[in-house]
Amino acid sequence: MLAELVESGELPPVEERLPEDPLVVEPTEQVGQYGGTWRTATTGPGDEVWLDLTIGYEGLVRWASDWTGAPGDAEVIPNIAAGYEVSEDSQEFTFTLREGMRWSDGEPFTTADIEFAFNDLWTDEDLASIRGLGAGPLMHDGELATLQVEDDYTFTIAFDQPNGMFLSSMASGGAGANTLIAPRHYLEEYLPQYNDDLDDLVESEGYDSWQDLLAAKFDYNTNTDYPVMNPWVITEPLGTGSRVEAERNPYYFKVDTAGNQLPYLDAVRYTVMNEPEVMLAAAMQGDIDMHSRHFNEPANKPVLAEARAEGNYDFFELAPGLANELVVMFNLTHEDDQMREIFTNRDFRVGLSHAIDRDELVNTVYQRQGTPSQVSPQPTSPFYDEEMATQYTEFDVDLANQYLDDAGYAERDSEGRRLGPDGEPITFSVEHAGLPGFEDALALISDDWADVGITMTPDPMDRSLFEERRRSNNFDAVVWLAGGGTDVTQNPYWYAPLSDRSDFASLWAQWYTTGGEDGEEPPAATQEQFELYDELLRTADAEGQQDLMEQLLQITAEEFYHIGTVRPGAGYGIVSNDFHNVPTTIPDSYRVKTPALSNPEQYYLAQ
Amino acid sequence: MLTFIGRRLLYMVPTLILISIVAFAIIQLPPGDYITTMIAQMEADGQSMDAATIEALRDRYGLDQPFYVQYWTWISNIVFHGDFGHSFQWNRPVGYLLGSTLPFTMLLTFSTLLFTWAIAFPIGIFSAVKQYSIGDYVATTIAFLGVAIPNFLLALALMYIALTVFGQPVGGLFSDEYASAPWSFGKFLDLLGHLWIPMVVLGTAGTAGLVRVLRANLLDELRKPYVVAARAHGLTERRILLKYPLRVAVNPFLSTIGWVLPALVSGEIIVSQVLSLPTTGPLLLRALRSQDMYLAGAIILIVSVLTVVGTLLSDILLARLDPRVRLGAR
Amino acid sequence: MTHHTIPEAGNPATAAPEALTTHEDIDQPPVRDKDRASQWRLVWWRFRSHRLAMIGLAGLIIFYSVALFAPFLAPYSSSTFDSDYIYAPPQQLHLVSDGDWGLHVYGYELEQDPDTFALTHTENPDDRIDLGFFVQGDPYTVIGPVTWDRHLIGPTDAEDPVYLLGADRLGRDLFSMIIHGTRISMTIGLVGVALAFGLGVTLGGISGYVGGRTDTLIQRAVEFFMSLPTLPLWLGLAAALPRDWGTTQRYFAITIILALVAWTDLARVVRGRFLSLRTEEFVVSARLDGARGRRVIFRHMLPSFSSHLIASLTLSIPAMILAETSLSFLGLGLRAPTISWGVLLEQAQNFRVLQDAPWLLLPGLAVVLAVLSLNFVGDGLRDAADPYRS
Repeated sequence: MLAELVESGELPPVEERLPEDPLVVEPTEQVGQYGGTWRTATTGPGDEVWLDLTIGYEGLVRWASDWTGAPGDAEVIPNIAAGYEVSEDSQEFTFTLREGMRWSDGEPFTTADIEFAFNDLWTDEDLASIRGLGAGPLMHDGELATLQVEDDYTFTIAFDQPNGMFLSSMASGGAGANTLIAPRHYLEEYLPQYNDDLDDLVESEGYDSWQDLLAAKFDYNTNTDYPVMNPWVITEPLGTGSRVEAERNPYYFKVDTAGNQLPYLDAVRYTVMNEPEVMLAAAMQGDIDMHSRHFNEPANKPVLAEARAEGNYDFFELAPGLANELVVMFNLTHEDDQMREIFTNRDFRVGLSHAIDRDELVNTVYQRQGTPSQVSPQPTSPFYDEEMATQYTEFDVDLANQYLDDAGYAERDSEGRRLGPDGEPITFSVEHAGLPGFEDALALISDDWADVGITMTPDPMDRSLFEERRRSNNFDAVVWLAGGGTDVTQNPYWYAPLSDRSDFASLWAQWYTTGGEDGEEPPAATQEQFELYDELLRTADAEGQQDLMEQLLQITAEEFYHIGTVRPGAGYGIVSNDFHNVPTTIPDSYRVKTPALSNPEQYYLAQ
Repeated sequence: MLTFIGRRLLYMVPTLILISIVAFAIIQLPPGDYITTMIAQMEADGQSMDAATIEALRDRYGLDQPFYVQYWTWISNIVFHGDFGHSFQWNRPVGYLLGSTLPFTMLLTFSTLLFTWAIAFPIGIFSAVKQYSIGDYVATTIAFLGVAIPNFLLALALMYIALTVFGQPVGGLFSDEYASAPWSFGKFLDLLGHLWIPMVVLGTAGTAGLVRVLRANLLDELRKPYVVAARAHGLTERRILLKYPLRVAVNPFLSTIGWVLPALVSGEIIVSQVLSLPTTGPLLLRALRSQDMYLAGAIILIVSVLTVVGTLLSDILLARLDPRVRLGAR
Repeated sequence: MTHHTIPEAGNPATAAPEALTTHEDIDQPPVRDKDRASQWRLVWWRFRSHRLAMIGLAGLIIFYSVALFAPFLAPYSSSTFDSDYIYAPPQQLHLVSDGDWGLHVYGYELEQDPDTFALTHTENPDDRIDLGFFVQGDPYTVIGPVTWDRHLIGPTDAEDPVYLLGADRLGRDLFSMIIHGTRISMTIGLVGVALAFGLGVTLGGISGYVGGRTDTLIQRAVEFFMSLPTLPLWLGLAAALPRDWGTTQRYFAITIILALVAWTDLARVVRGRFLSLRTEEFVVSARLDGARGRRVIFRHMLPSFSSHLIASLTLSIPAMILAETSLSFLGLGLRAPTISWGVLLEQAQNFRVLQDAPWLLLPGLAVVLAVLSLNFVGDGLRDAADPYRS
């Protein structure tokens, strides 16, 4: 595809397009063939993540493809950076760039870009509202990092305190993804400090402010002129038609073991389909080459399996990354004292945990896949603790009743409902945003709990309403999927109220995130968890992190904040039989940008 | 007649103002705003957003302003600059998005309309002329079946049949090879191959109503003295039918034609959503769900304006047909 | 989602014969009542001659009886499930086997493919489940504190699984679920429909009868409400209503609120009718006779097209049933634990069901039959009201 362009003189030859020391990617199976289009699908706006995960994944560093979620930096490897060095005290991180490396428009990538990105984009508070910007990993212990540029290819990022999580958050999806990667030569025009006539430009482009204009230009999904470091460059953006198309980046900086420039595939095409069901149909027909989002639910596996021969595809495994399919989080910081008294009663929670028939949940709701479990790291994780995973998961109505009696709610009314401290029956609602399985699972749990005299009403609602109520601490209990099954140290808020995602105790979380200014002071055990995690953030060595996290998890197990139900079994994705170099198993976690972890640039189609 | 139209045009102004306010209020009715949606999306993927960023975003999008300020900014830009604002989630001007979906919506609407009429006319005439015959029963039943089967179900079933029986690609209006190709005869055929499912689904739903109206009106006309007289004169049934009764019976069609477009725009939402068509319906649904308010507002406003204009058109037609209606409005 | 189901009025001649009789009756009220009764009988005779309408009427009676006696007719309660019967196909009903008489089915053995998760159910000839009438089963509330546990049909041992129409994704009996769903689906929108009907007739009548400024005002209101988009309104209301209401309550409230928007179509028709009628001889003479406005409207004008109104009423009920299913599709309708046809159809909207469990489309058949019945009845009523029929 590119040979013609080189011939006609539109492109320089490949040697001139590659950096002097290109990154060598080991193909999963074998060296591939050039050409072909990767056909996949997207639901459109709101689904930009799928683009990020399949083509927009290049950061300074990345995770090794055999990632396990071990603590420390051992699994972080160089990517756009040719290498990095960490100072003895883990405060200074020195990166070297690749000489001769270029943006997708042919302009060189140097520390000038990094300097610009650092000073003018990521650390500028006024721009924090733009997707992808915001200090993120550059902030540590409340202090912003400093940047020191040594030469065109070397720079150092320094923190006031030892930073044990900097490299891993730079490698992860989410806030750290693509941090400091921005083309200075292209974006300068849209910043007031570099362009005196910016107001005219804003006017002529039809925007209200230069920030809006910048936000539109900084977006690689919708702006096809935006130079990138990614394997493919979007040529048909999101929004114009019924698909998004990306073509190979002729200046991509990676090669295979035979020295061939990557990517192998000429293009990636995302057909826009509103409904996952339509995608499923397309997949069954063989119109999708490789996919692991939207429709890959366990419930759809039988139909997909049946159409395998006709659609010429097969499954690959997604190693589960969740800590639980459904976690019931009581509001331990409920505004109502009465409810709070009930929910913070540990025996009450243990009793209800014993009252759930988890095997039936597995059989009825989860396609007979998965294991009864509390919220816990996956068995493959170095943090797995069987005791923590299995405590109180045994289905035992007598035991449940005993715990609830011991909790102080032995008295019942004429209908057998247990009475709360005020002498009224204990009733509460569990809010959920209707994720797959929630409704059915909660119906069963509600029946189980009714059998031990506790009235629970599932309350389904729209996602954004759920969000509003969650944030305003206005609920009895909620359910959600628990993350942190494999990415344990980076995703700790399922184990302690460390962020506003910790719905089981949002006021305690607020207390922690605001440094004690807002929210409520939590009990001593929880405060100890906060200290342990702060310590972990300042600890660079793997052993130290492992030790601290284990202590933190121990407290989680003792406190028993929330009730877990089922730990998911392996997920799946589909891959065409002609589509190669996709591993048989990819860890499933947003943090490792599944499937980007398996290097999509080396996927190829048999010609 | 002219004063009637003039007066009605004048009345439209306050109605439209009121509608624009209510439309803007409705989309803000659900709690939260677009930022809430953004946060929810990020969290679904395991990310989170800190309070400062949320604050900055609300500020940038002007979502922290009071209702009347937001409304005024919105409506004044539309009225004075023809600018419908920016869509948050698409990161594009609303006008641009409408421009890319409206043509397909029109195409779908008009082909559906033609399809509906092509079916409804013969059935309606037949079942009026042969009232209570077996044919009448069969025809009416078929027409009613169309209205009785939920649209989304029919769409899904047809899609499944198209997929398994014909091996036809599902969703969208074009196959891969034509999606970004310039217009050609091949592309046109490809479009037809995709268009039939939504056309049939939407069309069958509208057919029954039309059949019933046509049948009832025709029955009324056929028993009028002038028809009896014509028959006495020995005119053939066909000539009698086509000469007057049919024309009169068709009048109601014309008087409701003004509403067809808005009715179809809201009617196609579900079908287009199921079939992933690049039309206005799914755009509106998505905008509403993610509280992308300028986009949702613009579509609602346009549909509302179409309705008001449609009402006016049908009233004018009615007034022409029956002067008493015009007098009554005075 | 709604269709213009009402024929446009504006045809003055339609009302003429009734007009004459009514006019003559004005000074003789006793005769008038008898006369009207006979007019209704006339309508009934005409209605009877419409075969489809009679079938529709029979259908309606069946549907509403099912709704009334649902817990008795259904073999199981709506919360009974069996995880070994997830997506189980309908069981075959046997009358005789091994020379042994009596209605029975056979139980299933379940197997799951570990790789594809596909479920297979095979009939187990050793697991005979006998069926009986008036059997003991799940208890249910008859009225107030009175409960009963007899079911018209069901397994003789209440613990046995009987799935005559197959099972859904949780292993619930679809036959029972459809019966339970009839209740909500056939009734939830009735109040809304009635309200919209009342508003439409009243406001349309006033608009057409009084005319002038009142008419202008009401017509602008019609225009305004007509332009209000239903879907966004629904989305907004669904989120704005009090949280402590159940899903059914909230849905019901929305149908009521939407009724406040949905009266416009009928109002326009009624207005058109009134505009045409008020210059008719019988109305003019009634007014000259000194009849008051309200009396003229309710005694003379409305009856002249009351059958049309009834027809339009029966035709707006199907629209409400269909709306319920469509909204469920968008996730805006009723939600479990409420059982309605829409809720049941929600789980039929995927390819797995179309391929592996097509019987889950059966609630759709119930919708089709109910809507057909109502349409036929409505159609019959309008035909019957047609004064020109001999």
